[in-house]
Amino acid sequence: MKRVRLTNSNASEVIQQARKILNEGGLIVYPTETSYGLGVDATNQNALLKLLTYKTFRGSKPVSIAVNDIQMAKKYVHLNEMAENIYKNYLPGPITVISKSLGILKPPVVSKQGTTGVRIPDNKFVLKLIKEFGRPITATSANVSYRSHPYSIDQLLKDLPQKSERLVDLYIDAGQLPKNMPSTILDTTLNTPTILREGKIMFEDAILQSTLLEEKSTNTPLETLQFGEFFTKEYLRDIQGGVVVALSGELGAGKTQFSKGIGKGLGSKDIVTSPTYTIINEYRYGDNILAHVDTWRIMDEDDFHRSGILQHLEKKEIVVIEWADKFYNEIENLCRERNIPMYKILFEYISLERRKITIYGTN
Amino acid sequence: MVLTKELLKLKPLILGIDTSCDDTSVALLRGREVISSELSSQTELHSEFGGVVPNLAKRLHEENIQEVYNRALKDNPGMINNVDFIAVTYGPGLAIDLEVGLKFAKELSLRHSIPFVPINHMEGHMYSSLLLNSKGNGLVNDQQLINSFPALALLISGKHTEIIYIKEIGKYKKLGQTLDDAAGEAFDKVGRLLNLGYPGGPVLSEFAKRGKRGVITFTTPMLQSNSLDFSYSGIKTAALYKANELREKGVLEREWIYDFCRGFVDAIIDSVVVKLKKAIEENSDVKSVFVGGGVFNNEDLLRTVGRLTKSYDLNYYYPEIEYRSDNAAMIAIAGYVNVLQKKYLSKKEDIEKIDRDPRLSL
Repeated sequence: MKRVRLTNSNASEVIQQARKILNEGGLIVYPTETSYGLGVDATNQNALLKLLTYKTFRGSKPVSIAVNDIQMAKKYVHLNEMAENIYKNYLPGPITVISKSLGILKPPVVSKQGTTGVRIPDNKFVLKLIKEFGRPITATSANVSYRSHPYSIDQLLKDLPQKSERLVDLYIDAGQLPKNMPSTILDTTLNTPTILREGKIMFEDAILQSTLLEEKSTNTPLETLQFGEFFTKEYLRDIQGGVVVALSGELGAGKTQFSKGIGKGLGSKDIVTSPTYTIINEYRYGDNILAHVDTWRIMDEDDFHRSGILQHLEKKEIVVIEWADKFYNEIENLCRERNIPMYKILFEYISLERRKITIYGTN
Repeated sequence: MVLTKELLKLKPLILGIDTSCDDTSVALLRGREVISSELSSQTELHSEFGGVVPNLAKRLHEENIQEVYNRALKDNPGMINNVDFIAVTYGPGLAIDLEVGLKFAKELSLRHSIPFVPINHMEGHMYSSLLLNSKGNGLVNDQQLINSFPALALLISGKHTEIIYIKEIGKYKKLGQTLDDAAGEAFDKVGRLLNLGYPGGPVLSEFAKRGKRGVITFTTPMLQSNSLDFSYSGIKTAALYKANELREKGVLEREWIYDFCRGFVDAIIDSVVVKLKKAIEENSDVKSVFVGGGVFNNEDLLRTVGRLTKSYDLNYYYPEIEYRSDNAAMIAIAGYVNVLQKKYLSKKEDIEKIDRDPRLSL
């Protein structure tokens, strides 16, 4: 068994030794800021096979990789906006970031869904090792499956089956590691509902060409609600053939409060809540339905058309849409084709409490 | 109705179907025992990664439902002939989503002459803690269940935040609910404004574990209100301002983010505790608290509510992790509870009459 005690003076020698082993498809046990990790060349399939044998039974569980910086990560995975933010702000650190794999890596360092988990360990020795090695290494905990995370080589060896132990070419012993919790896994591939910028620009253009009807500063959520009620009584009361009320504004700017005012203004007894999750809430007033739509979680145009908005428009209902700027083009087309009027309402933050709400009419 | 030991000896085979949310799900239950529980997104729950439930799957129920159904029947289509009841969600949810499950369930029910049980999705969350594993083991045994009522249900998910008084099974009264955003939604939106992506729930919960308590704090939502209602739009704005303030000061995000998440999560938990406590004190006859919904994936919330119920000497019933987020096993267990009350339909014309109800409430 090769076990080397890592000291301040021998780091470069240990790195050379580890590099050689990794290059030859060998297996190392190395320290990280969370626990001892198991490293092989993440681009070498034979080495990965060896790692799986070491781990004993794993099912189809994928294995994460460690890189030394964002540049190396970008060679192997696609970093979206969320991932870029996390790399920039939180790495190196105890976080594993899951991204779409670019197709260079193969299972088990790629999941069934085609994603790879990437870490930048907060450990100078490991970062230097990976930098000099020039390729990612695996970043799985050195325990065999179903055993606890090892914080010292002695503890690891106690639990390790002989079959696994024989596969290790080098144990890099940095003594007892602090018992930090395992890295937090952040999946950045789940869709991030961002505002489609194109839609936002179109919405802003449309506003420039529309008549300004009302403008008001509100100081409390209640005032925002009351302004919604005022708008309803002033503009929606006599509508017969359906209407779209398109709302645009940042998180917490008052869109749902204003919608509550619309419900109240129409005389609905139902509690108006955020439709973010349901996509469309329906409220009754008299024999009619008020449709309250939220596009925040709608992924694309297909999903938008699938949501059932069209059915509400065809029934000539009042349709209030939060985050309308995201799909402004679609909304405008639907209105134009059916000759349905649209009000555009802009919500802006002035301060923590104050909002500016501007109502525009049809172009 | 009042439960008895005799009644609970009934172990019908129940098929549950849910298309009220992003995922298509189908499950099979024998009495309270889960035989299968399948989702359209085949998540690897216990894997190193790839295990986060995609809250934002494309809604493709029509494309998915046959395949998920086949899996739930373990690819043995003949099994449907042994099914005694079909339970399906008819609300609340997006109309167009509900229609898919309802249509599928009606067709099955009519074609195979199987009685039909229309289910309120929230009644599913309410009883999700009663599910047993395939060996018949679980948190609540029959005798405990019989002695559990009256009870309170605390249901917290991306869509809902509500407290229900359960006089006995089938008799409910909503005591409070969110007036704007659900708690789960607040997690996701704050996750978004911190640039931590979507869904925010898992990230914020994880980051909170690394944070120190009391360093960054938020006012507990609805602390001053006398009602049992919830509100999470204010804390969203407060979080936005706090984050901007810290950024403007030029403090590195990694220096404050963990404490920020700790403070946010604590305020949410506190808001829940305050209302639950009030509900317990106003309803001194309750013997148990049933919780359900995806936000209970936050372990701090699960444990804190547990401690509270213990201090009042109440039973605490919470679902296993796989039944906290939306799933069809909980629809089947609600189906079971309805079957015990003989609330099911057998006549063709009655079944056909059932329509989706997007705004259904308990």
